[in-house]
Amino acid sequence: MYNPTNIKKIIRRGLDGKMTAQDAAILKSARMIYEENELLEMEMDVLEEMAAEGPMDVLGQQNIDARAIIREERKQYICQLLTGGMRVCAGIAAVWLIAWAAWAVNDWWSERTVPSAYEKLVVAGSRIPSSEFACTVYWGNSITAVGKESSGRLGRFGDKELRRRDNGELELVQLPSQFAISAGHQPDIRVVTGAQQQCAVWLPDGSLIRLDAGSSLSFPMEKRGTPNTEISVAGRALIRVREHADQHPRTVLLHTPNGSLATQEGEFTVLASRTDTRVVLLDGRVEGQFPIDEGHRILTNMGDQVTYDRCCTDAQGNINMTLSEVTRTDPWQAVAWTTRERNYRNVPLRAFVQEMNRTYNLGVKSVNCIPEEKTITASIHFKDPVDKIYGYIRKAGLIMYESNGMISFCGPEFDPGRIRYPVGIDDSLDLMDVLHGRDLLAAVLSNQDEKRH
Amino acid sequence: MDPYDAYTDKQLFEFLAETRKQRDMEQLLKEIIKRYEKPLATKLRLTIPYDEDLIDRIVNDVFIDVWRKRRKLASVESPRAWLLKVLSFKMSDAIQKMKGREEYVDFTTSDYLEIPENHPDFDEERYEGMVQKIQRAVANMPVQRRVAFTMRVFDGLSIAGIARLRNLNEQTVKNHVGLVKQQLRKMFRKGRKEGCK
Repeated sequence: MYNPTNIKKIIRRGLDGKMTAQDAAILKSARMIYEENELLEMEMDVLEEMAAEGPMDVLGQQNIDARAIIREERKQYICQLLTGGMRVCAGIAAVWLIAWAAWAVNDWWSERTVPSAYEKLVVAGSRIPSSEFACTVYWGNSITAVGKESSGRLGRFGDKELRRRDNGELELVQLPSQFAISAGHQPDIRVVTGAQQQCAVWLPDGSLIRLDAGSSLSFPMEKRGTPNTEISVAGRALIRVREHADQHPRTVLLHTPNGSLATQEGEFTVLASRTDTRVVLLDGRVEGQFPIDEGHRILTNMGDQVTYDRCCTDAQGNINMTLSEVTRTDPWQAVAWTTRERNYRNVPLRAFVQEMNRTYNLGVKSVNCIPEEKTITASIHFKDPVDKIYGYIRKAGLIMYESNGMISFCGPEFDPGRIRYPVGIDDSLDLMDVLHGRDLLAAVLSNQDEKRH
Repeated sequence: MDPYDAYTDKQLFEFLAETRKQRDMEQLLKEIIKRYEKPLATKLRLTIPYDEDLIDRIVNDVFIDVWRKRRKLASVESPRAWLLKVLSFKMSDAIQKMKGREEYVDFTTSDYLEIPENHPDFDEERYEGMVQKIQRAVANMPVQRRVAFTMRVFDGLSIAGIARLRNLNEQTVKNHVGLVKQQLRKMFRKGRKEGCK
């Protein structure tokens, strides 16, 4: 039954498709007695017999050329090498792409999730929401008003596009080079905030500038031959510059009306007016250069402050300039303007009026007539109307005089053309010799007016 | 006369694995093709009679495999069995590629040589009888051999597995199983002769 000859016969019947049920049972049980190779050898014997006896004319001669096989194998080998090489390249490209994507996502994520010094200082709930941000963007003759309801793409300025993110922050996006305008001078992009407006702008290099009301940011369109970013700020702003992963560190240069500030990574507030500049560091390192002898200051610690003041002209017509040393201040005070509710407790009235003038654009001519010793305690919400501010100022004991849309705290204005000689004063005398003080003059004027009427 | 005519299959494979002369290698491959092209094609023609191109391709693939693996052929114990196995793999590959095409016919279910129990009238009773006969024959053999054979054939364990379980050398297990099979073959041949008498 398990004789090789018998098994071969069964195999033959199997190959011919004539295997019986008994054959199948024998063949299956034969596997217990014979090794697989032995059965396969038997099958090969049967196949050789069939090939030898078969009437298959096509098998009469050798069809396959050994050289063709070798050539084909070589071809397949090269194909495999090429395919393998391409796979390796694709793999490297995929790994590179994944790494790049991971890096980009990490960068994006950390930018949004790792809290900045400011974010640590002022919790989200007490900040003015960025959805309330509004400003006006100027570029050449174009004016783009950004309101609370603005969203998406807001405009294109040369090779830069202005977008508003979902969270309300603005973003200047660098477009591909084909959008660049090569001819002619490119005006700066200016972002200006009006009364009771605030605005945050992401620059193409990833820096964030948050502007207070009555402030402006100027961003040059043209590259000035350096990889550095140069911007100008007037008013009050919070600046955040993240370190770049570039091989060569990039510096952000911030110009104010009085001096300039440079940082590669830093977060700071700047209050820059025509006459003075105050910088308070929140994080990182900032170097300031001011137009005065030994006008270089370096801020390295949180709360470091430096103030440059250009004030007053002396008898010889010289402008007095002072630059403080680096002092420490409460950093929270420097960013209080970003909060919903500003609380002032016994703050100098002059400073309060200056602050409100910036926020509400009151049109205050000068605060010099406000007594220095006067203080005020007030609580202002960022949506409070201007009347509330006037109420606080009046409550503090100040009398405001309005003329031509400007507010003065120095009493009523008088017109030199309306000056009349007081009664009893000789016309031949020079009025300047006899009049002392504005109040006296006002009294004289009123007296004369009464007489005339 | 072909210089490699007198070589056995094993010698052909060994020589092809060892030689570095291109001409010799070509001659050896030619000899292998000469010996096995027809049997392999015969098997394919019986299995897939409808596609001559496919048959040619599969046979070609078998010999391409021989050429590609020429350096490892010395370790092949049974070249003829190895070639049939390669043919079987190549057929499977071809079927995979053919799947979904109209002309594809799944012939694997009707290949009772590989899987006899697929036969529609498979005689289970007879098969069980044969198995019992084998088991009875094995029962009289030495314990070591019997255990090794039972574990290998009836329990389906690998040689390495049995060696590990029995704490024996793999070659020893192989020898035990081989000896049992050899004895069984002898016994059944003898039994047949006795039956004839």
